[in-house]
Amino acid sequence: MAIILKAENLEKTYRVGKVDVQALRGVTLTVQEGEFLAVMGPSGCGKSTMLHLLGGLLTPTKGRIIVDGEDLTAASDARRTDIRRRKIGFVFQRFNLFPTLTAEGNLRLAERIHGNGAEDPDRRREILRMLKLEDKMHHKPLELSGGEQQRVALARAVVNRPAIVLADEPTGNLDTENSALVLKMFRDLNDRFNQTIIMITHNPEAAQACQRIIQMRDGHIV
Amino acid sequence: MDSLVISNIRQRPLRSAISVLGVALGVALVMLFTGLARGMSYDLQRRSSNVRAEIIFRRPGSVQATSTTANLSTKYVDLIKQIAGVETAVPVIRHFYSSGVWGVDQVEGIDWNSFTKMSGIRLVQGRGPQAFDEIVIDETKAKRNHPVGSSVKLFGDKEFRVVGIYAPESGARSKLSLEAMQSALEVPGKCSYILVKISNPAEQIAVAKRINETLPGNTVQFTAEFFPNVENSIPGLAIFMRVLVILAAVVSVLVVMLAMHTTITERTREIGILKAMGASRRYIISEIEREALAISIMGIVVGFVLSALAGFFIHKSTSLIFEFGIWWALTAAAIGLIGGALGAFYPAARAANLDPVTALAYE
Repeated sequence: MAIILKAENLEKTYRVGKVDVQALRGVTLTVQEGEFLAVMGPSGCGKSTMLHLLGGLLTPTKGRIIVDGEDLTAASDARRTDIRRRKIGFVFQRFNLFPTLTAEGNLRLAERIHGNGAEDPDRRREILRMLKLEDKMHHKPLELSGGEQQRVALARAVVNRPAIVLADEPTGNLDTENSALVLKMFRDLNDRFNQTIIMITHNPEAAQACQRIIQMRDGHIV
Repeated sequence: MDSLVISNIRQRPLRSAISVLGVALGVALVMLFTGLARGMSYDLQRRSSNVRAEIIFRRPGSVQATSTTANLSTKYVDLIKQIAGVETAVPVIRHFYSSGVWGVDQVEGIDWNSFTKMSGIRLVQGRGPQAFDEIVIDETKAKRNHPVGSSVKLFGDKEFRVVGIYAPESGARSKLSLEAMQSALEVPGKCSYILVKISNPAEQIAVAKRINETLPGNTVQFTAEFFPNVENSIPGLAIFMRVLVILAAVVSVLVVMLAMHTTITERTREIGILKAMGASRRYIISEIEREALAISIMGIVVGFVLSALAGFFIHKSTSLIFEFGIWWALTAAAIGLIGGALGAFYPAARAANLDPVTALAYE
């Protein structure tokens, strides 16, 4: 299986007032294509920082990140944005849907940002069907349950066939039933489309849905 | 249609409406003031051309924008009539008085028969002025609740009875007999100027030269030059209108800038989401600019409607005339669009440069 993501010796230091805070202290990680990876660890161990670095939302203080053959760390901000647009899909704990757009509208927005020609209504409908959202396409986020909103967020993240989906505590705001449903959707995407997924979670049951679990502590992978 | 631009505008209807009105205000200001200047100018020129005299003969300095002096002897009338090429010469006293919306209005004292013959105006109601307290007005003034038989106050509180209504508009809207005006102003045998009609208008330059040579020391002027447009006759009006246009643009810029700044502050997290989705700086700026342009376009339409309605109602209540020109309409539209685009640019650029992680965490 090809390596789809490689992070070498990642360090990230934040300046907070007059104090330097080292969030990552040399993280090395390799992810295979099609892998479903869970990242666990206590609050403040650097999980989200690592996810933001892998998604190109932050630049590391030291180290290197290669995403699907493209060097994120050597890239300018515009180039990182371009790589993120083509290769990364994000799912957040708080769903982060656009409240003024319908479910389908959120997906269409993702397609428009992705660019590269016309929107793909067939792909869009396939994803919505797979995530059991066909009859929710014309609903706005406020008209959807938490689980439905997260599934729409997941649909938005995968509609452009990204190389990797980065999920930051996707079940953190859901009850048990909806958590199980969303995790099942993640697994289905991974099984059916060989989608590579890196998921941060505090939930051991959620982590059990994954193929591999890594633990972090104090900015390291342990 | 699932558009972020349209849905964002609809999400905050009151703020969007205020932004639209801000742009509309700038557009309406330009349209109304330029429309009024054009209307006044064209009205003045139309009434002046309806006099149908090619030359004005007067004493130097006797006529200003809002004042005249009756210092020309009416004996010049017969002298001018004897000059080759002159068809007729008609004495006129033009007097300005405090009145109306602008604070000043004008009335003419004329020899009714010779003036009507020269200008071609005709009575549509009533008769010409005979007694010293009689006045004839044009149809536009008559529409302002001055029918035949009504009274008009001039020279302080002196009442004059409307005995006739004439058309088309020609010179001042109100006309007394020359003798009545001379009596009221205590200038017997005097006038402000003499209107001269040429037999062959093609010879007006030659005739003007002859008048000048025959009666030196006076001012001989063509009526086309004498009744210039308002912009030339009121000093500083052109500068005022340019300043007004700039102010209108500034209003549009500031309103849109404030609206977009507020919008972006409220939607900081949404901008973070867009960045997480891979939206480029250019995309984010273009989305915000499109929203600003949508507001500007609505503002332009509302501005045109407001100025048309305002012009209509102002005309109805004051008889001020508006002439909306396509050039100024395009200028007003350009001000609305450019003002909106410029106003949104700084907030849009700030939004595009937001740190995505910070923006995503914004509450």
